[in-house]
Amino acid sequence: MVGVCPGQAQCFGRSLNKGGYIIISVHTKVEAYTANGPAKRRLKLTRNDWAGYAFSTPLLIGVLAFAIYPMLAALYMSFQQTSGSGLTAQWVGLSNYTYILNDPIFWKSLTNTMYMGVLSMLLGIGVSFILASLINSLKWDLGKNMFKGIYFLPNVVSAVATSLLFSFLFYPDQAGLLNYVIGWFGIEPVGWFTNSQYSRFSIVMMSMWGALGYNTIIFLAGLQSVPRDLYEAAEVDGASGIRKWLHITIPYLRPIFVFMFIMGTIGGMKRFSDVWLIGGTAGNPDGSLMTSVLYIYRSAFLASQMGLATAASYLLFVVILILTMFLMVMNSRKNSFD
Amino acid sequence: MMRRWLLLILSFALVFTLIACSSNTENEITGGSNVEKVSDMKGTVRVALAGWKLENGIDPLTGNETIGLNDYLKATFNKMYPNIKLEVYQIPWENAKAKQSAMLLSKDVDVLYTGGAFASQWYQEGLLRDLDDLIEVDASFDPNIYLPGIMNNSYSTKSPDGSKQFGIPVALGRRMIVYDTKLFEDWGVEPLAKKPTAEEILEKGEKMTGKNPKTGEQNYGLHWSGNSLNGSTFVALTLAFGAKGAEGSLNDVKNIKWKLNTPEMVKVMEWLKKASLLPPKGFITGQGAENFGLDKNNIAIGIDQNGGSTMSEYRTKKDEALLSRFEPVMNVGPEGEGWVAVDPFVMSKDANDVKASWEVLKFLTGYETQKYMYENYANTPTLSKADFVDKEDKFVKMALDIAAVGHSELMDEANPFFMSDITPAINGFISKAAAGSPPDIPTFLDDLQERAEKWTANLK
Repeated sequence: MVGVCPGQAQCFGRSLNKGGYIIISVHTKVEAYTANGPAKRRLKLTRNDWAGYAFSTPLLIGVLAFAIYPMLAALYMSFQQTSGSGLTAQWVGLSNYTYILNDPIFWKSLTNTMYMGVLSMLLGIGVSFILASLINSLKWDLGKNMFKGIYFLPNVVSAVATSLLFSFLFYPDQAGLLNYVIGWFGIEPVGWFTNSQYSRFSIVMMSMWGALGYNTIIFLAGLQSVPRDLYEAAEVDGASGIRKWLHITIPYLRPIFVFMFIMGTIGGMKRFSDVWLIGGTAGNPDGSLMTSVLYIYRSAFLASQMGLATAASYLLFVVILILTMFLMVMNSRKNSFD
Repeated sequence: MMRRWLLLILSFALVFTLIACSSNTENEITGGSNVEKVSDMKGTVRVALAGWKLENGIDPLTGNETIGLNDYLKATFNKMYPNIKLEVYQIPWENAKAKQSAMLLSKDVDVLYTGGAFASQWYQEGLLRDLDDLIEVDASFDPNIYLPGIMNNSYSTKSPDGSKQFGIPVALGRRMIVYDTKLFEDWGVEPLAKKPTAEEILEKGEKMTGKNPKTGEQNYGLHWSGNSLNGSTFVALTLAFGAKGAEGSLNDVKNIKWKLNTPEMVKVMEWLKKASLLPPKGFITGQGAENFGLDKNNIAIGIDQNGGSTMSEYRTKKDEALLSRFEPVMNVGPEGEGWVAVDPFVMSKDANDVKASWEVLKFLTGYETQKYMYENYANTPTLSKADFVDKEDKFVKMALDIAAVGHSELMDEANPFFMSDITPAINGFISKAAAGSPPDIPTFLDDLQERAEKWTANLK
């Protein structure tokens, strides 16, 4: 969203002399002022107001029907013992939550999810930022576009195709490409997906490959909005390329990093398709690929226990909320560019 | 004038070429010849089919042309029942349960083709209709044409107490033991018995794991899928060792008595522990048997195989070498039984037009449709006398033999705890055993038993 940040609005966006505004902005408080202080609240709706409400009503109804209602219904269902599709249900209070919180498999799934989520977020953001910086530093425009295209390509491949592809790349004997390559250096074949010591990291590598292009494009957009005059001023003071990168580029892109951290955390915590396709419902090997959403899936669609599944979903929601708030608080410190 | 003539000639040439090259006249479609009107019955029936192909296409394995359901219905059903309008919805297998559940709940469907476990759960939820009253008054429907073990003793077609018929079986899963006679000869091992025991399979599999004495290649004695969603190998082993796993009825899940830590179950786990060391490492993620049934195969015994690769090669190349090399035998149950997947047609409890829906269901499960599905998509029929099965297709014949002695027990995908917890736990055990660190079996089974009891207690 492009816009100014009036009053005390908290705003991720900023006014830039060349590139306009950075894409993310969250306004929390906007007040209208007149010459005599805050404007009085108008009670009478004008024709324009009615038009506004008329245009936004379909969207509001959609949000209420397809987002708010299902969330509330799921919350209600989490306190019920349901059979199958939830046609017959009885109120059981916190029983589902108690069951899940005492279930070691839930905790194991949460640990696996956080391990893979945090690692893929950190590695993904780090590597894609370095890549974006390298592409951005290219003087050759055609080369820039070529690399953008190359790195973005995996992003259009579905999770199913990616999982199939990597299950053969990471095949546990010499038939796998990766094991074949490491065999040149005398290293024995590794069970990338079949050994519980490596399986989670292999999933992280696979998801990094898929997400690298998208992250790189976002960072590139951010990098192109950094004002040139900041670099020019630093060059006058004799700053090296690395110093400019560390002290101008990275701090300037902090809102982008915050966005990427938050989206990466949410995405990582919802991991399902790839681990399900590779490890099955057990999250093989040895449950190392068992994630929270796989736990929810098992409860909902294999055990037909919608009450348990919705309770687990709400617990996962709370975990994601806490992580997101933690990230936002950690990044609320202002720097010289704010 | 000249130009007009040229255009006319070219148009005719194009039309004649298209006619000459096109095939699948209605008479060539299975059941398309000698079709006569059966009834003037009127109605509209909404049909949701999981995984069926509606349009004509090409079989990716054999390259043969396949006829989609739309053309098949046009050549058959539409002529037999000209006043019944069919609204056919194709549902991909992925997430079929969620989509078909939604259709049942919103009363948007009359007849469904689906997975057996889904059908069983919907029946228990009261979403499906019993078919007994319709069968009783319809002299044209003969329930005896179906394999009795599947029609009368499967959770996919019968109510949990076995008293009501809610589904008619139309397709079977093919799961049999297939062995490579060449590898057996190379190793000098006696061929498997027609009805092998679990012990025999393990013993022979152990003998054939290592470097092939003739070719020097690495051979693996056994293979099965270590991340199977339905735990079919485990089910067959519970039958083989008489490990019931539970007592009670799916009608009353809350009162099921779990028997997961019995001495019989210990034998099942001992077998899995030893056998887990024999397959290629990829088996725990469902890989490793890509060449089974083909020339480059290096696995001696394949458990829960379907013979698909061998038959495709045979159909494409008409070379019988592979067909004689790979031999199917019965599963490991006492009568040669194992777990048999049964996909039925079922009717919604809220079907709009029950009579018309029954005619549709009857037609889609009948002889002609099963023949059409076999000829086009190699589906395994559910008929006692499936005379259309290719004489060379020994795999389908074996699947039918296994299905004929099939029966459902509580260790079945229709049992929710089996699917959600037991199968994943067994797969986890297998992956640990394959890595050389198997869990202590009594402790593992005690934990599973405790978990099952807690799960049941939470239902009350």
